[in-house]
Parts: sequence; structure tokens; C-alpha cells
Amino acid sequence: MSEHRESAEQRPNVTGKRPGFLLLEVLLGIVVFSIFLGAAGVTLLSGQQGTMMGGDRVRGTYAALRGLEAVRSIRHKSFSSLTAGQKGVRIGSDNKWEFNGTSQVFSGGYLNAVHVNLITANLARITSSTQWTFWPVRSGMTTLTTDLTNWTATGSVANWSSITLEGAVTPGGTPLFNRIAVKGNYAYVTSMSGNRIYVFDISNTAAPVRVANTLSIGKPAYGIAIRGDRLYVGTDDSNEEIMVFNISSPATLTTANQVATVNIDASPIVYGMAFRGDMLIATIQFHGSFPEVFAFRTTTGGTVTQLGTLDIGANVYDVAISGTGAYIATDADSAEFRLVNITSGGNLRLQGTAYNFTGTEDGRAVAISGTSALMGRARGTGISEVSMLNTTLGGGSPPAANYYEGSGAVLDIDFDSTGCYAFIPTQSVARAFRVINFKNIALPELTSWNSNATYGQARAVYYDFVRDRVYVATDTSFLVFRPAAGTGPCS
Amino acid sequence: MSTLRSRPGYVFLLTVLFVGIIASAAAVTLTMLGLAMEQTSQSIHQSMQAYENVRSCIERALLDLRTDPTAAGDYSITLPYGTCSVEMYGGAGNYNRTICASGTYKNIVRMVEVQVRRLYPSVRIQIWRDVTSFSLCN
Repeated sequence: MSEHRESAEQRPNVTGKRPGFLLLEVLLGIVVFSIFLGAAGVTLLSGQQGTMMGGDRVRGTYAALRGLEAVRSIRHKSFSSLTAGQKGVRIGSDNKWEFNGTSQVFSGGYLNAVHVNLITANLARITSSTQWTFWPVRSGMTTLTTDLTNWTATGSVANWSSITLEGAVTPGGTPLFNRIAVKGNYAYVTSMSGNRIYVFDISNTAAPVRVANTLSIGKPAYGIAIRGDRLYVGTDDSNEEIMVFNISSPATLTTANQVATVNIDASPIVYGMAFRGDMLIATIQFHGSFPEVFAFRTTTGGTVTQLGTLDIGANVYDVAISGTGAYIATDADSAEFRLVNITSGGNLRLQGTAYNFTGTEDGRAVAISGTSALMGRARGTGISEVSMLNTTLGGGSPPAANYYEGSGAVLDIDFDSTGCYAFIPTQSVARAFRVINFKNIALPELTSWNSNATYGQARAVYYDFVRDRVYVATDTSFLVFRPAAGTGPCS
Repeated sequence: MSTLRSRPGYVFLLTVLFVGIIASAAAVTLTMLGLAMEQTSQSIHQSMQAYENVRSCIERALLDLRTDPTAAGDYSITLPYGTCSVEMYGGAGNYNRTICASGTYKNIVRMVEVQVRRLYPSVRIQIWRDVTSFSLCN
């Protein structure tokens, strides 16, 4: 047997010596690595750029927000400071924001400008824009917009210790006005006779004018309340105890504008009406085995849906709401003043103890200011017709010295916006309208006004806190009172 | 016979591939971080604009109540960047009024409820809070 010996040239290369082949692979590796590196580098830079641009946008947005807050601060000082145009903002020497130039550079190189656009006399639109340019590929702009209004305007209550009859309208006949409600430039007044609903244009309080003269509902009207563009009127009609009108055009209001009615069984008289949000509380004169307090859900369209009722066994003449409590004035001889919990309209319930006033004269009016209430009663020879109560005790408090002699039935009461002046119409010609200091527990009278044969006895009152005026309705007339200029004992 | 030992470049190539994959993964991660930062900045801007939208509605509501305390509320407004809406005003008269409003910009919704202690002679706000659902309004 001969060994097959291969020559060196024929033997395979077991040591892996393959000249030129490693170089190829190295080159291939470099190319692949370069591709990866390039792709990775690009994506890396892209990601980094995204991060930086995101950060720029956040800082730019905060700079824009700062511009808006600066303008808001300027508005708080005075809405009239907001003049139209492009402005910059800075902190002034008084450490408050002020306008300066047409733009401002904030730290970090963010250029901010605010643009003020006056849409109406009381509404401004503010646009705050911030720009930045750091690199050609790293620039941007962000914008924030908001609306500001003149709600911060401060009104004032003048000196109601001195009053002047500013305007008067006597429609004719003896309407015997009952209640007043105001919306915008119009006052709505219910009455027992005549047209029963009267509308007065009070845009010029020195010269109020009766409008909607043809409106007549043919039945005595008592309670009144307004929500949105809907007027709710309480009557003694046997089928339409509550009538709802669309008052979007008050000057031409007619019965054709009636949009809804509520029929309450047993044909009561709806005396008191008050809103809590969209819940209407109505109180009626009819007792026996029948509820006297009703809760309704209303809509902006005027739809009325009954939620619940409460039978308290007495006529209820007036209601005033504070929080979740409805304070009612009744003719119960030992419970003229009561509190109804109205947290749930479907679950009305009496709360606390009733208050028994001296004598048996009916409770006819109630008004709430803070944690105190004033109640007006029918005239009595041995009583004071106005009483002050503490509402925090849930129903009343001992009378102490909180009485005021009305010398006539007090059918309505109202307060000014500070809760200091109480306005009291009385069923008397002498001192028919009175103003008392409610902050003084002794209830001192500040001033009074004598009616005469022309105007008759006072029956209803309404304080217009937008105009700082008081409207008083008498047997025959609608009156406008204004205070004296300057500050009074309540300022 | 092992071909691996006879092909040292193969190892290098594999190494390059692995390194490249790792580098790519890191780059992609950083890219996604950058995208996330972009999206976050967008969301911050949108959220701020939505909040300014709800403040716009509250501004208008306060003026509305100052002008007409019998106003009912319940309206929506189209703004330059988004919309806002106001629920029916709570309370009645001069005291204890409530305003609930929401502002929207793109997909962001912000809600604020306000309790006003009084309107006149000057507005006094008792509560102003950012909420996810209204508690002051029904």
C-alpha cells in the first residue's frame, strides 16, 4: 500500500490563511458599521433636536402664559388700561406689571408680545405670542389666547340715609301692586287689579315709562320671579296658577308670549316665588290637607316640572332663599317664621324650630341678609310689624330688641347689596317707605318718605343693585328712589 | 474541519453587527424620547390653551351676572383656539352664585367651578378650583 502523500500545494489550508479575504470582511464591516453609525447618528441627532425643540416650546409656552398673566394683572388695576394694539409687558417700579413698548425679551432669548383686541367696551381678547430663534433649525413660535372682561369693576352703594323720589309712573286706576322683579332695563310688577302685569322701562330711572300696555292676563297676579328670558307669575287662576312668559322682547310683551302654565290642584293663590339655580320655590295661600310649598325644576325654555311639595298647615305669603334653606312667612298663629330645607326639591322638609311672634298677625314678608332675616307682618295694634331674626339657629331666635314699628302692614322687604340698608314699604301714607340700618341691632330708622293721595300706601319694594336704586310699588304707582351722593352710615 | 477558525473576519462582522444593533437601539430610544418630548410640549401647550379657554368663559359669565343677575347661563362659545361652555348658573340674586365652565382645545378638556359670594358692590369669589367633575353645579 502506498501512502498518498499530497504535495504542499495540494494540501488544504487548515490554518485559515486566506490572503485578501479578511480585508474584504473588514471593509464590509466598516461599511456596515458606517451605515449603522450614520443611521444611528442621524436618529440620535434627530431625537436630541426633538428634545431640545420640545423644551423650547415648553419654555415659550410659559413665556406666553406669563404675558397673559401680566395683562390680567393690568386689567385688575383698571380695565380701561387695556388699550388696543401690540404691547410688551414688564414689571414696573411699583413691582406691578405694566405695558412697555411693543415686545419684551424674557430670559433665555424668548421674545414675547401681547396683542389686545377690544371686542366691546367690556370685553377684550388677549393674544400672547412668543418667538425664539437659536439655530436655523431650532426656532419656533407659540401662542395663547384668552378673553378678559370688566367684571372687576367696583360698584358702590351711596348714602341711603337720604333719599329722593327720582321718577314715578301712575298707570291709572288702583292696580294694588304686589311684587316687583327686574331684568335689564325693565321692571315687571304684578297687581291685584287692572292689567295685573305691568312692564316699566327703567333705562332712564328719572323718567320711567310704562310699556307693553296691551298686556293683560285677566286675573290677579301676586308672586313674580325671573330666570333667563322667562318671567314666572303667580296668580289665583284656577287652572293657571303659574304663568310663564318669554320676555326677550319686553316692550312688546303680550299674552301671546306665554310659553307655559302650571296648574296646581285646589286653585290656590301663588304668593311667593324664588329661585335657587333652576329650582323654583312657590308658596301658596291655601291650607287644609293641601301642600303650601312647591318645588319645580325649570329649563331655560320655561318648561316647569314639579319636584315635590310640603304641607305645613298654614298659608304661606312669602319666601326667601339662602343656601339650601327657604325661609317662609306664614299666617300660622304660633309659627309665623319657618325654615324649609330645599336641598332636594323632591324631599322638602321643615327644619329647625318655628318662631312664634307676639300676637297672631300674619307673617307677610321675609328677606335674608347674611345670617339674619327681617320679617314683615300684617298690621297689629300691639305689635311691631318688622322683626329681626338669626337664621343660623335654624328657625329663629328670641326677639330681644330687634323690632321695628311699621305702623302699617309690611308686605315686602329688601336689602341693599351690602346688607346694611333695609328697605321697608308700609301700608301707611305717612312714612310709606322707610330705610333702616340693618347693621345696628336696634334697627334705627335712617329716613322715611311720606306718600300722599296721589301715590297711596306702599306695597312692594325691590333693590336694584346694578343701578343702586330702589323701586317701590304702591296702591297706584311705580316709584323710583335714588340715594344721596357720597357715603352713608353703612360705608 | 471548523470554518469558523478559518474566518476571523466573520467574528469581526458579527461584532460590528451587534454593536450596530445596540447603537441603533440607543439611537431609536433617544429618538423616541425626543418625540415624546415633542408630544409632551404639545400637550402642555394644548392644556394651557384649554385652561385659558375655560377662564375666558368664566370671565364672560362673571360679566354676564354683573350685568344681569337673572341671567340663566347654559351656553357655549367658539374661541380662536377651541371652545368653552358654561352650565346653568347656580343660586339667584346677589349672593352665593355658582359658575361651572369647561374649556376645550383639541382633545384636552379643562373644567373649573367657581362660587361667588356676592356680585355687588364688587365681586367676591369664595371658591375657584380646577376639577374633573362638577360638584357645585347639578
